[in-house]
Amino acid sequence: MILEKEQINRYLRHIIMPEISGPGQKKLLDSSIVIQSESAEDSAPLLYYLAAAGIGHINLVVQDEQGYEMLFANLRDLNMDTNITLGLMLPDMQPDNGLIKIILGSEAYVANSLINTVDTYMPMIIAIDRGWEGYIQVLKQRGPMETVMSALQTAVQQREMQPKDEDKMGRVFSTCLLGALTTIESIKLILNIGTSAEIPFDFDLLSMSFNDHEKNDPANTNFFAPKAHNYSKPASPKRLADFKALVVGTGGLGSPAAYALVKAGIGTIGLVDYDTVDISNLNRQILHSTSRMGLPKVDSAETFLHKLNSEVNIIKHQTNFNAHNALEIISAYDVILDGVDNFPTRYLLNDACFLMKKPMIEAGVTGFDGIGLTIIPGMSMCYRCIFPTIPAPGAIPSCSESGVLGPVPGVMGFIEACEAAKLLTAQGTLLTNNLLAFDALDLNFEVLQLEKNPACALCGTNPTIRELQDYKFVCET
Amino acid sequence: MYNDIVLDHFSDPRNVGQIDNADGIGEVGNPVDGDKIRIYIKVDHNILTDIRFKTLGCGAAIAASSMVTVMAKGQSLEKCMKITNEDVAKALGGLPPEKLKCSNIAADALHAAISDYRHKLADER
Repeated sequence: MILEKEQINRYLRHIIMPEISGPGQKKLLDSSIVIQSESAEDSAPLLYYLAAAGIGHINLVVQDEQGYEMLFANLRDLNMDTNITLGLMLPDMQPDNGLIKIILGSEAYVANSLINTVDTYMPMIIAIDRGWEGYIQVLKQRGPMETVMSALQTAVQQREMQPKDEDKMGRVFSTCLLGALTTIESIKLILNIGTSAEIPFDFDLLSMSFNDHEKNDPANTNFFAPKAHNYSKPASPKRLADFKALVVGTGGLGSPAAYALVKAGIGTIGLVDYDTVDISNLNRQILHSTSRMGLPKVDSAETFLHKLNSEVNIIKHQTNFNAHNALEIISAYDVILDGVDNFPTRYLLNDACFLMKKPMIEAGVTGFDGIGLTIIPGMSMCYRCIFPTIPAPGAIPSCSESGVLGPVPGVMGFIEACEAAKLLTAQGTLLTNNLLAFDALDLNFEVLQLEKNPACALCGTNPTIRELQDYKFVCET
Repeated sequence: MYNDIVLDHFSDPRNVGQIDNADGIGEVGNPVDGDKIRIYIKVDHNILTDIRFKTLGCGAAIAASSMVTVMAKGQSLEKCMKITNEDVAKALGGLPPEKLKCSNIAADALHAAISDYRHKLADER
């Protein structure tokens, strides 16, 4: 066998996808990535997703090493297949097939790193964070690298004259999203699938805008140019520490959602999950680990999250979320994040949140794709406005049947956390009456404007659903 | 849940891909489970000389597709038509009972490809 039995189970969700299959996973396990990052802490989301996906060798070169011991211990426990080293480049890491270099950090850091890059490793991925914004580009040739380098230098010089406006909360979400997106771009490069982001891509999580520069400026200087933001910042933003968020499901979506919220300083986080940790979770569920296999997921998640932020208050609900306990569980929280893996529970959650007037952040993933939206009951459309009824069993394959690329739920879960944080602290624009559709193979986010459906059985003008119904639970195999 | 033969064929599927100028193409799908198997064949003097498959589905469906291509390659069309889904499951050392019905349809795809080839042959004549 080309993979060990344990590896087949660990990477099951990857192997089942024809684009990856066993040989593709083997390629990932044989690949090497060098990461140059401003700080160990900022590179954590990237490292968790690379390790979960089974990248064989990671060499991390960081300016600020703080916190790396705990990070490395967590990574080893997440996946022993990933050999991770800190410090200088290993001599045997040569730019052959499968060696990728990633530079991750602020504009100034990335600009400096590019100038000081003696050997030009190609391909290279640069990932730049700036407050709530981020920029990512895959560089395969010297030309585009020099273009971005000079744009960066100009931007850095211009910004030195401006007062520094570092938004700490925004940086948590932008570095998280950059980590998951950079993992996706790395996997696409190694497996030679999809379209690499050679055309730069940038995002602003506060306004929820995602741009590739294909249409406007191929020289990609838009992101770096000083610009006036179209949103106003509250004089004294509310504190995330004063709020309670509930994450229903601590799997592929719930892991990144809880990770980012706790990292950003949420006061209380509730976790709902009846399940225990299984090896096939670990290609994407970054809260869990090899040594915690068999433990209840809520316990495993608590262990991880407390290490991440000892101040957070964690409430565990180790139960099957159902029509009998749904209203009671959600009643204590300010916002609900959907991290479930099946349609009946998703509809139950949608209905329960509407009936209890609780804002709900919704996301779903399969394969290389994800969708997301934010629902404020009575104000914006609900899940049933777009998808009125529960799909027939098997009409849409679940992740266990069609597979999912590990960092894809990472992207959508981080976006969920970001939406929850903006909603709670009353900042920015939300994905209300908007459906976000993510395509990892093309690195494309589309925001589709939609409206409340007056005929919606739950939130329309003549609702027929006035209490929780019987939700047909489909057995997952 | 799966035995070693199934795991081997699932993680390292043989004859995966497509044949651009295939002599016959067969496709079967299971609408409930979502498994979909497409098989491409090349035929020379009644012998199945090349076979490739593309499968979207669970591990059992991928392993069964891989196994049926191994069993059919180099055989006469008559022999290929006699390969049953049960033969494939047996060659795989058995499949979990819940998978026998939904995912063990690879032989059907092979038969469909051979029928397709025979229809095309009849049309030409």
